[in-house]
Formats: sequence, C-alpha cells, structure tokens
Amino acid sequence: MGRLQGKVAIVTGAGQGLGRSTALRFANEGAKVVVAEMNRETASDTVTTITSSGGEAIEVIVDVSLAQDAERMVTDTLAEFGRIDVLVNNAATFGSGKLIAEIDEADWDRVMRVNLKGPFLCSKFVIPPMLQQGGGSVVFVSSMSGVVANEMQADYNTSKHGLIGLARCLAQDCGEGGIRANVVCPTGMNTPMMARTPAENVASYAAMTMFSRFAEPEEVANAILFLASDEASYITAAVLMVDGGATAIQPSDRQLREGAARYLRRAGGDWA
Amino acid sequence: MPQYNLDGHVAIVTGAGRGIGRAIALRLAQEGCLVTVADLDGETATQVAEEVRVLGGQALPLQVDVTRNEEVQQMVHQTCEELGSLQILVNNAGIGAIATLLETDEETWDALMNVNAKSVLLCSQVAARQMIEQGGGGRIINNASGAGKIAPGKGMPLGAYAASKHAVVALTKQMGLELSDHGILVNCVCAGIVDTPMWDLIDRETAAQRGVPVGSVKAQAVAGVPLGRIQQPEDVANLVAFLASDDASYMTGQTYNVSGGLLPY
Repeated sequence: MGRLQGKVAIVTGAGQGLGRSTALRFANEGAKVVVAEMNRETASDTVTTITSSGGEAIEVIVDVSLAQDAERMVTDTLAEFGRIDVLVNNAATFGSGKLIAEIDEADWDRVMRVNLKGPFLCSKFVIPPMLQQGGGSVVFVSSMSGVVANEMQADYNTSKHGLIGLARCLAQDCGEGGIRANVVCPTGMNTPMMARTPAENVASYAAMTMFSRFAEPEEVANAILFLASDEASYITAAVLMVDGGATAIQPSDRQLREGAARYLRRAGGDWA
Repeated sequence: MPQYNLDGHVAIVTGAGRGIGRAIALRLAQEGCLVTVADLDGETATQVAEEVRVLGGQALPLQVDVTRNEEVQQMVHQTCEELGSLQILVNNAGIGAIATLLETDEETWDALMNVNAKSVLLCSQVAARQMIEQGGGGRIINNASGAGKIAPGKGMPLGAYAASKHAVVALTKQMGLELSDHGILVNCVCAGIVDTPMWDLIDRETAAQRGVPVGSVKAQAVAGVPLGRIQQPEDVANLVAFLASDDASYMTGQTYNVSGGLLPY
C-alpha cells in the first residue's frame, strides 16, 4: 500500500526538476497524478515515465498564471479521476537577477504572475471540489528565498515570501473544511533551474547549508510527499524548511568562503 | 503499517512513559526500531515497554532522571549494551508549570530549565558522542512545544515554560550545525494543544486561577485551532517518525510545527 494510495494529485511544473521528482514519487506511492505543465514535451515525458512503470498519470498543458487554464486543469482532473486530494503548487520562474532600482515593471509582473498569481489561481479553483469532498492537502513550493533575502533577487524573493502568506491564509480560511495548506522551502537543488544560475551564486548557496551541498530534488519531494499524505493530517499553516539548516544559522564570511571552497573541490573546481 | 525503513534502528525516547513520548515510542517500534523507553517514572516506562512487546517489538524500559548526567550516561550505555548501536535520540521529557512571571519562584524556574532545556543538552551530548564513535551518523529530535516559538496567550501564564522551550529551539539550531559534519541531523518539533496529561494540568490549574469550570480552558484553546479539533499524541509521533527516516536526509537545524495551524509561524 502506497502512502498516497488511491489519491488524486495535481503537480504543477511537473515536467522537470522538483515537480518531476514529486510526480514520480507520488505515482510510486499509489497516487493518480495530473502532470500540469506548460511544456508539452517534458509533460509527456513525465507521464510516459509514470505509465510505463505501471502508474496512472495524465498531462494537462497549462499556463498556471491564466485563470482559464487553471480552471481547465481542475475540470479536466475531475473529468478524468472524479476528485482532487492533493495540489502541489510547484511551477515557478526565475527572477530577473537585477537590483531593485533596475528591475523593469515587465520583469516584476512576469515573476509575480507565474510564482504568486499562478498558485493563487490553482488554489482558488481546487478549493471548491476539495471542500465538497471533505478536504484535501495543498502544498506550496516556496524557497529559502521565501524567508530570507538574497542578493539581486527582490522579484523572486518577494514572490516566494508571498506564497507563505497565501498558504497560511488558505489554512485559516479552509481549515474547518478539512483542507490543509503547507509550505516547503528548499535551498538550492540539483535541478535544471539551478544549472542556469551563475556558478559563483551556486557555490555560495551550497556553502550556506550545514552540509555544504545542495539537495537532490528527491530529498525535497520526500517532504512534499509527507505533507500531502495523511501522516501530516494535523499539520497545516506550517513551513517546512528543507534547506540543510541554512536559515537556522548566520554564516560568517569566512564560513562562506571555506564552504564555497569545499563545494568547489567536491564539484571538480570548474569555477575559481 | 510501517511507512519508513527504520528496521533494526535503536532509538531512545525520553519521557516515554505517557503522553507524546509514549506515542513516539510506540510509533518508532511499529517502524521496526528497538526502543529504550526512558521515564522518571519507572512503572510507566515498564508499561509502555510492555505495550511495545505486545505489538511484536523490542523495548528496554529504564527509570531515568534526564537532568542527572550520570543517569543519562548509564541510559545510553545500557541501551547500546542491550539493544545495539544507537541511531535515534528523541528528547521528549518535559514538565510544565503554571505561573505568571511575576509569581514564578526561583525553584520553579530552575526545575523548568533543568528538565526542559538542560536535559536536552546532556542527553544530546552523550548520545552524539556515542554516535560519533560509531561513525554512522544519527538523528536527534527535540520536542519543544508551541511555547518554544510564541508566548502562550492571555490568561495562559506559561512564561517560564516558554523560555525553557525557546531554549530547546535555539539548541536545535547550533547542535544541527556542530553535528552536521558527523552526519547527525538535529531537528525540533512544536505541537499545539495536545490531548495529554500535561494539557490536563494546564487546564485544571488555569481554570482554578480563573474560577472557570475544568475543561473550559482547553476547549477555548482548541476553538482557536484552524483545523477545529484537539491534537492527538500520534499526530506528533507521525512527524517525529518522518524526521527519523531517510526521507528527512536534507533536514537539519530546523523546527517544524504540528499544530493544526494554531502556531502563527
């Protein structure tokens, strides 16, 4: 018996990285998975990976920041599987990597649209069927950037901070209806998104953790699975830091330098 | 049904004779752990160890005062002798005291700090040294409380208790850092209004001070829980089992709420 046996779970951004790992883990635990993704190719790859190993999954091609897409994602899920037990708001985009004074309005809107409005819309449309069936679990993928500042990340960090507020309010509003809402905050992960981050940032992010290494996406998917499952039936409005302890300490500059050096030695030293 | 792969792991749970500690001991046993059931009250420890045996598990009941270093050393020593090398320590033992800070006497303060905070340091020191010597890493999970993050609300005079539990949260952070190189992960859990003897005590004493019926303080507190129901010890045990498992391999130094949404952060 899997930990999500018979449950129906929507995972947004499930075509790659953490979303994909989460979708695969969920399917392994017996969930019927809705792979909600903008990229048709990666979406069908995730679906095929699940179905070819005996799992159940469908793809829904969506831009989560469009209301009609988010609504269609919910109606398609209900049409196929008849219920929705879990929503993982994972889909996200990068920040512009600029100082605040240089962030264009278009940058800001793009990041907020995908990272904050998207999860709002997906949650909004998933709540009525969840209430009707007596409850459900919504997991928001925020970030270590949802609780602390990072250099030149104002748009991204603001959107990730916002998710925590959204989750807590959802928990308040829908708790008595049996809906739980929680947040997972990972630090850097070995994902395609991180592969696009400048090497010096990568090294310093890894150095911030107590392990001087990044998380594998599977390690973060474990926490999402826990929150999605009935094991977490009394956990709501909670923020699970899955950050290797990064935000529990104040790293000194020296520690950061040493940690970065350690990370680079392990990584083969292709950045110096 | 076991959820994680903890078969054959050895765990110590302090304050395991009743309440949350008992639920944690039973849950870890169901996950396949060999469990030392440590409690100041040797009789309740024996009862819980018997419950573990009935479930088909293996348990070692020990009467331990976790504020006494030599007893803590004996607890770890005997655990390793009888059950094998130690992988998991759950620092759960704790006491409560109802008093405003203005009325908290020095004796009460010392007792709270000794049982709730100092014991976490002592047990973790001894257990971590053992784990380091073994070389395979380990897990330390501290049970703070919602009072480890916030001051309990008006009419809930738990200031000194909250101070002792805040100390546990702080210890978790630094301990996580210091032990990370040894592969020992340290985390903390914070519960809300749990249906335990400790909350019965808080309810009874606070009700007496306010001149309201027994049970009303607890009922009022539960009314503020977004999930709308009181918490069971098993809810906390679920989170502890997850943190003890391989699934929590990237989690350390942090504090996690299991409170039905009661805790604001």
